[in-house]
Formats: sequence, structure tokens, C-alpha cells
Amino acid sequence: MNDAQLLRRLAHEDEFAEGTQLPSTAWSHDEAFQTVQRLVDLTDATPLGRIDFGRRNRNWLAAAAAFVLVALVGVGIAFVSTRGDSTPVDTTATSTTTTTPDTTTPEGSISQQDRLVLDALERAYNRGDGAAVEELLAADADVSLLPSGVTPSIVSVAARTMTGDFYGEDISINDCSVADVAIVCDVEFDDDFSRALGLEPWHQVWTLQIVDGAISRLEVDGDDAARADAMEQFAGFVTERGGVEEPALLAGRLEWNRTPAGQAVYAEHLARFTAVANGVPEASFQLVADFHNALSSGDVAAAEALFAPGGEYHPTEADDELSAAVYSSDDRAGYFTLWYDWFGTDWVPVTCEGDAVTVTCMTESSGLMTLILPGRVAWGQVTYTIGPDGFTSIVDRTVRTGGSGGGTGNGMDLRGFWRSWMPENAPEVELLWPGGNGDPENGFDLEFARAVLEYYPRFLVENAVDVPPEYLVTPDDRTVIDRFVETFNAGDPEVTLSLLSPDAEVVSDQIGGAQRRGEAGDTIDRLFRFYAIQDSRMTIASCAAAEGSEIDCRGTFTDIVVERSTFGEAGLTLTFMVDGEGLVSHLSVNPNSPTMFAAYDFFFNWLDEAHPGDGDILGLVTGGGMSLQEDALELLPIRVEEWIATLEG
Amino acid sequence: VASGDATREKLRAVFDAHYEAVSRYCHRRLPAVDANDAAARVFAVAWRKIEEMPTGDAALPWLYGVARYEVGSIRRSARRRRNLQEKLGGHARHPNPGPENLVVGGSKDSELMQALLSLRPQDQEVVRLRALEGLSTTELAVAMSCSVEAAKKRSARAMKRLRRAAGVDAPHRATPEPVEEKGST
Repeated sequence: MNDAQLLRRLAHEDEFAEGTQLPSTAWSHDEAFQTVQRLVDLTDATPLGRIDFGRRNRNWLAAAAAFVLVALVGVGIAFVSTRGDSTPVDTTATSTTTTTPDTTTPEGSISQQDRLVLDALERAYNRGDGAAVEELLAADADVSLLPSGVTPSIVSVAARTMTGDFYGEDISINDCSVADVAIVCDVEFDDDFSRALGLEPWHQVWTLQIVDGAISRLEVDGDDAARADAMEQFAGFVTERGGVEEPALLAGRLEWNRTPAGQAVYAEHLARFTAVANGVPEASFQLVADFHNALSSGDVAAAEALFAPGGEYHPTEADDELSAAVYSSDDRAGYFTLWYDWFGTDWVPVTCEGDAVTVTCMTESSGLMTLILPGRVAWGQVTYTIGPDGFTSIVDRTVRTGGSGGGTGNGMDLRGFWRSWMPENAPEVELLWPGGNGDPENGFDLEFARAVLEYYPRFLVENAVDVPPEYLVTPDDRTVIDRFVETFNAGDPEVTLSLLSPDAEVVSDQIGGAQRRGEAGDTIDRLFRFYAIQDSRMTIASCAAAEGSEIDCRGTFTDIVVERSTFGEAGLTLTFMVDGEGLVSHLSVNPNSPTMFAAYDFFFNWLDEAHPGDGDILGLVTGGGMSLQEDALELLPIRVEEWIATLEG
Repeated sequence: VASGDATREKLRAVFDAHYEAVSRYCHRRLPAVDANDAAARVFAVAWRKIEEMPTGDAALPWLYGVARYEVGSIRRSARRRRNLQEKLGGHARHPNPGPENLVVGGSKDSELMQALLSLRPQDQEVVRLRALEGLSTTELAVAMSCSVEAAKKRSARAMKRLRRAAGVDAPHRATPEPVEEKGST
């Protein structure tokens, strides 16, 4: 296969090839152009390449050559440490090259065009946009970093130098003044690290030369001694805990922080440092971190395991209008599954403080539920109460909106959502919570949460919020799925089978992960008979379109064995494909909870004791999948009945 | 200085001619929600640099070059976001694939696409620009901001690496078949 053939093969796989339909979420031509116009209007009012510098700039250009010869020495000496001082930099005080003090003028004398360039630089730096920084640099621009001893002065590394320097930095370019032929600015740095240490923002002096709208020279100097001290303190903390492989790298902080690995290690330890610095003992912080990581990675069981027996989860604060919800161990797993697993909610404690018993964290949440919010992030506060056996209580005020620290805006106000939209569009919820008044009849329980999550994506779409397509399922598809579940729960496999298309494929990832794939006929029939014999019941919690034409549904699955064990409901993932004619063309069933496995273990242990060898006769083996022989299907209900009688006896 | 109206008319012409291609470029590399933003930002940059933007056949490759930066920025933002989320505790979370992996992961020929994904980002981009955007090496040079000679070398190296990663044999001929070129400028 030659190159052309290989390229054609790749092109053949291109789902966005010319002439194909772009996704429905792609902006229309006009919509996109309006956005471009908004960007143009909001970001830069003047094209950089066409800035008219007028007479003053022509003088600049004439002076530029002289600057190259003189300013390296002169302006370099003129740098003034302004740490902790927000007053304008007076470069005349120390500059040896300032022959005419009158050339130092207040900030107001910076031309509007120069200010535009500086503002653009500030914005690009703060959003970590190296490409945009490069755009602002002239082709032969020179960038020098004086204090670190590293003077790259190489254009190709300029953007990286500018934007990759330090983790979590934001800059403000303040108090600029014209000195000789250069602009000298006080630049304030506000970063995660300084904040964690309780330090004031620190400062650098940037000396810039701007010609024709591009930065032709940038020198950076400043007193970062305070930051250096802080880094040493931080290095001591990390080394003490043996948490970094090459602590020596910390000494070369600028270089280290520029590497992705350095930033990652730094961020990780900074978080721990922050927590400890705020007085949270490491053991408590560890528990909080474990909880956060478990939920954000969808490991609901791991999160659940961190609660002490009888521990409670309050999704809202006690005096909140949605105060009725208190989740105990019975329903917590379902709640977590819906909110954190299914809807991909990420939950990040940003800062924490507390002691061995109580830890309070400011948090940041993102995910589908926050799409309507500015910045798509909700802020809140979570209070963890810790007992010897784990969390005894977690009070989560994350479901609030707007602004750092948690405000009380309307973005996540469920009542507003229901009252404005629900009555006509969400009859199921209207039934649970007429008019959105008072509390739902059964409280803010799992069923209510399910209903919220079912309708919320559609609410967002109808309010012009850009919802990722995987969250959306058409009502027609949902109808087919509901009918399928309803007939399945009616316990007649023949009726259920009638809803499968003739060539339907059923894949069941059964006990222990062994996968059974049925193409049609007997295998499907046996599978559903097996479920029917056990009086299995599906409850679909929520569905969303997945890749291609697949629809992923989450829910619970109970049958006699599971129900009669002490393990409760088993989590379930069903993936449907619906053929457009009201039939299911593909169904895969994946129990996603260890509950079902545990229940079957329980059952087979009893079976081994009561009827040694029957497990083999039934052909049901935990950890090895199940075989659906006719005789096993006939024997299974008898054994289950015996088991139930034993338990009840 | 050109009048504002004239500049906007020029931008509108460029936009009308090339938005769809740029949008497809971005959708190939980013989830839809980001692809829309990236494509819009490309034309915001085009407006700022409209004086130096090439005209004619070279305009689209130039826009692809800008799009490459914009896609890179968005991916970088996504990485930062992930880093932030991983900030706590140093616990490994479930792998969170980048947007490029999500997009490519949905492709039909996963084997070849996986081989493509295993290449260095720059090689991936070269192959994509050639295969999916259909650029000639001359156009590739514009998009990658390098000389035509460098573009040829990069293309040859990237194809060689793709071939190796995909386990595809090199053509058995003394003189390699030239890759189809389109509209050089």
C-alpha cells in the first residue's frame, strides 16, 4: 500500500468529509458568523496588524535602533522591585539612560494602541494561550528573563516562557509608563501557590518595546525573593513527606515549573500543602480527597464505603428550601450514581480547612447540571463530619450557583426550572411535585432525582443551552424503551420478545463478566425466560444517546435472588439501539454493581450447603457466566423457592 | 487604515468561502461544543490579521494553520482542566481521554486511527492535513508555517511512522508512487 492509498483509506474513514452532514450541534453559517462578529467586537477593537501609531510611533521607530544599543544596559538597571507596591513604577529614579526625565509620563500617556497590545497580552497569558502570545510578538522579537538566570532570548520559546512559567498564575499589567523609548509596566502575579501561603500577589517589572502593534522586545525583571522563600518552604514540605522524586528540581523552580511533569507534581503537592497549611490534618484531608476522587471517577461504591454505618448525606443545607433530602445508606448509592456517575459531575474541593472531626471545603462542580451557569461551574461548600468509622455526615451545598464562594442566584434553582417549564413538558415530575410548590409528596427521593435528570437536558436544550448530544434521547426512542421495560416487568418473555426486531442482537454481560451474545431465537428466548423465572424487574433511571445510534440507560435491576439477599438493588446499564419502527434492534445488559454478584454468591453458597452439586446441575457458576439449559431453567425456580422458604423459616 | 466596513466585507467574503472547511477541520479534532468555538476563533484571528492573510488558494491552508493553534489551545485548556481536577490528594483517577481521543475514538477504522493516534502530535497533524483536509505539500507548508521542502520531509517521515505503527508494508517499487497533489499555488 503506497502513501496515496493509505491517505485515501484514512480519508474514507472521515465522518466529516466534504458533502457529509455536520453534527446537528454544529453552528449554522449565520450563527457562526454572528459569533465571529461578537468575538471581533468583544476582544480586540483594532486589528493588530493595522494599528496606526501616528507621529509618536514614527519617532519610536527612529529611536528603536538606539534602544537596542543602549537599553539593554540602561533599562536593565532601571528595573525596580515593586513587590507589594501597586504604585506606578518610577523608572527615572534609577535609570542611567534617562537623559530627559520629562519622557517619563504617567500611564495616561500610553497610547490607546499600545494599551490594546498590552491588554491582549494579558488576556492571552491568563488563558494560557501560547499561540496568541506568539501572535503578539514580532517575527524577530527578543524575550529575556533576567531574574532566573535563564535568558532564552529565543523567539521560538517566547510563548512557552510567557505562559508555561508557573502553575495557576494570573497576571495584571498595571501602571505602565513610557520611559525613554520603552514602556515599563508593573505586572502583578496572582497564583495558586502564593495564595496557599497567604502571600500577597507578587510583582515583576516588564519593559516592552512595541512597534507596529507587535512586541519587538520584552525584558522581565523583578524581585521574586518572597516567592523563592515560599518555594523553599514548599520544597521542605514535599521532601519531608517523600512525595517528589527529584526534590532537587524544586530549586530550579522556573525550569521545573515549565515542564508538564513539574506542573503536575507541583499541583498535586500544592493541594496537600494547601490543606495542611489550612490546618486540616493529613488523615482527614485524605478521607475527603478519597471521597472526592471516588465520586468524580464514578466509583460510587468506593464513595459509599467511606461513610460510617448510619452516616448521612445531605445534598443541600438544612435550611435550604430543598432541605427534605437526607440520603442514608439505602438510597445514597443510587443518588451518587445518578448525579456523579451518570451525569459526569466533577466535584473538586478547592480549599479546605478544619480539624480531625470537621472539615469544610469550598468546592467547584461541573457537568451537565451546571451547563446553564456562567462558566459552567457551580461553587459551593461541603462540610464533612468525620467519625472513627468514616463520615457520619456530609452536608453539601454544591447545588448553588454563580460567583466564587457560592451565591444564591437562579441558575441551579430547581423550583424556577420546574415552574417555568415543567407543567407542560414534564408530566411525570408535575405529578410528583405539582406546580413545584412545597415538597414533593415523597420528598426529594431517588425517584424525584431520576425525574429531574430525565428532563433537565431537554430543558437546557429548549433554553438554548448547548447540551452535549450524548445526553439527549428522542421521545420516540424513549417510548420504545419504556414499552420494552414495561412488558419485561409484566413477566411474559413472549411479549417482550415481540418488541425485538427479527434480527435483533442481545448481549448480556452476566455474572462474572462472561458475555453471551444471542443473534436471535433460542438464546434470546432463554435469556428472557431466565429473567422472567426470577421475576426480574428493570427500572430505568435515565437514558442518553451514546455513540452512533446507541442509547445508554442506567437503572436498577431486581430479581428474586437479589431481593431476597441482603444486598438490595443491583445497578444496571442497558444499551439499546432502536430501529425507528418501534422495535429494539440491539440490547446489551451489563450489571454494573457488585451487588448482583454478591447476591448470587450468597445464593450459591446456600445451594452448595443445602444441595451439594446442584450449582453444577443448574449450570450456574459464579464467576464463570451462566448456561441457560432447559433443565436448569426448570430447576432454578424450585431451588429459589426452597431458598426463600429457608430464609423465611 | 482600511475602513471598518471594507474590512468586515473582506472578512465576510473569507468566512463565506471557507467557514465550512474550517468547521470540518475543527469537528475532526474536537468535540462539537469546542469545535464551534474553535472555528469562530479562527475567523476572529483572521480578522485581526486580515492584512497579512494570503488570498486565493493559499487562504484556506493559512486558515488551517490558525485553526491548528486554536485546536491546540483548546486541548491545552482541557488538559489544564483535568490537571485541576486531579489536584487533590494525588490519587489516580479513571483515565480521562482528551478531546482528540474522544473524537478519533469514534471513527470507524479504529485500527488505522489508533495507529494514527500513537504518533507524535505533529506527525498526526501532518497526516490528517494530508488525508482529511486533502492538502498538497505546498499547501501543507502554508498550514504548518514551514518551507515546502520541510513540509515534504515532515510528510514523508509522518507517513513512514504511520505505516510502521499500522503494520502496513511499504510499497515494493524502486521509485515511490508520488502522492496525489492538488492545486499548488
